[in-house]
Amino acid sequence: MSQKIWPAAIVVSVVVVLSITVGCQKRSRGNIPKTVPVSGIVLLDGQPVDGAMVVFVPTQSPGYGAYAMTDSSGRFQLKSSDDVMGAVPGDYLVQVTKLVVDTGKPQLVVQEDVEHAQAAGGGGASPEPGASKNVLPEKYSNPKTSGIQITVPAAGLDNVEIKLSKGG
Amino acid sequence: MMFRKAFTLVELLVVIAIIGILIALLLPAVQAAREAARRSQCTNNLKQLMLAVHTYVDTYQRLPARQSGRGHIQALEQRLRISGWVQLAPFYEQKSVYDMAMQANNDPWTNGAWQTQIIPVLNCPSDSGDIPPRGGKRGSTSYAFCSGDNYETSVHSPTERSDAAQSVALMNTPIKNRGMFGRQDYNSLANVADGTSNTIALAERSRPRQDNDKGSVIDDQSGDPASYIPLACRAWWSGQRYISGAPIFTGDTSPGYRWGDGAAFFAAISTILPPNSAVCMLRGGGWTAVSGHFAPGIWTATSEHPGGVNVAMADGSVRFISDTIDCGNLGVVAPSPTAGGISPFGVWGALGTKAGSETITGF
Repeated sequence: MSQKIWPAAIVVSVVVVLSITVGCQKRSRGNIPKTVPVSGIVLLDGQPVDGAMVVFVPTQSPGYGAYAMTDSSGRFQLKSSDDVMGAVPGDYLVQVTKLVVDTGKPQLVVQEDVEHAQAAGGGGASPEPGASKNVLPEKYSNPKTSGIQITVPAAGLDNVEIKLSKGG
Repeated sequence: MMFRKAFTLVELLVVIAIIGILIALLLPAVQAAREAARRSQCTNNLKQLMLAVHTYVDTYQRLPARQSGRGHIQALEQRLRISGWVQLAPFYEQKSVYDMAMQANNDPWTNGAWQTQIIPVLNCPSDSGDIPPRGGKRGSTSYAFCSGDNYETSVHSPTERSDAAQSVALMNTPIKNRGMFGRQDYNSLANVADGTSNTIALAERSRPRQDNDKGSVIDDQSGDPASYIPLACRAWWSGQRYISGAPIFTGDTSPGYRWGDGAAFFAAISTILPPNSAVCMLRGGGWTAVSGHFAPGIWTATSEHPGGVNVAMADGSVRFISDTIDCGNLGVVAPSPTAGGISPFGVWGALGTKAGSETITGF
């Protein structure tokens, strides 16, 4: 009869081991207070922008900012750190950039000397290979000049529209 | 009564299963023990390097500079880009390498004999990066000098490198910062007014193995150091690596692969963003034309140790700083390198400044 007990014992021990290992994976909040979910969409002249980096910059101190990158349909969900979704309620200034890396140009092995020679020859600076470029209007890259102000209420925000325009 | 002379199949299977579970439990522990041993050696390296720093201070009454050397930033001799590791070499028993470097009297990126030396004490065993994702490989290093909580640069202005008259005029002018080590900035220990046990001297900066790996540098062309907010840099980091599509700097050699180079890109750490997060160079606001290795940036401390980085305090003690250390308000622009006053970046920022007058009570 004792043979019947063995399978049950194995199942129990496996469950115990799994629950210990799974339960021990901690996610740290650091010092961030309670957050609320914030989601939205970035529009440039009415068109959704994919791959744009949205940063919510707190206006009060101590402040905890939040950020997100938009997906292929221009939507984003803010997070406050790698492990904490959402944003702390409060007033924010918003900056939006979309940096694109120019991968078409060749890579050099040690560029330093080439550049020094160029500079000494007065040839002026040429853009580096693989340099990144902001493709959204530059004023939105600075929270003070972007003119976008958003208040996150205690209930959170759904479908915030961040409207940008090329004309400024 | 029946005697059993052997185990049954079920009993054997059960025993094998139990052994299997025990091994599965034990193996991660063995791996963790191996990492603990590497971390311990890494700590020891930092202690040795701080011993070298203090011997240097005993000899010259000054701390070494992060970046110095003969010539100026545009041309000649060492091109003003020699790292503190070279200056310290005689004090960690690598005088022959030091002599070789002084004899060669050339820049730190040339593929020469002294530049390619691999010096064991400068390499953390956990830091396994061997091939740079970009550019040429020289002697590697895992450690860097603290430059405080400001955006640290390697040139006075965006035009110092391209303007011959300016580079000559500024060749002996130090670039001061809020930390202990700057360009040609030979501080004395008396400048460390916050107390040597409350100020970071050295910390880890691990080497990336791929473009979007920890330790790689984001190239932010819209980042004007005068208005840049550290949060915008942190946003590129997703916990293990950079998010896909992040604008990684690919124009020249990756950090960690030139031990002799004193540029902030290779040899500085900033106490702004939490350890093991994003590293960013800021090339907006007039800095666009400056080549990457000179640009100002947030040179975040990174390591391959789980959960944090080793830092050496100015008194020679080595502490393990957690990734979750208080970094204050990351939504404000970093202080000017020459400003006084309390760091906005919490305990982490306070530890980085040499004279910020912060009160630090345990960390």
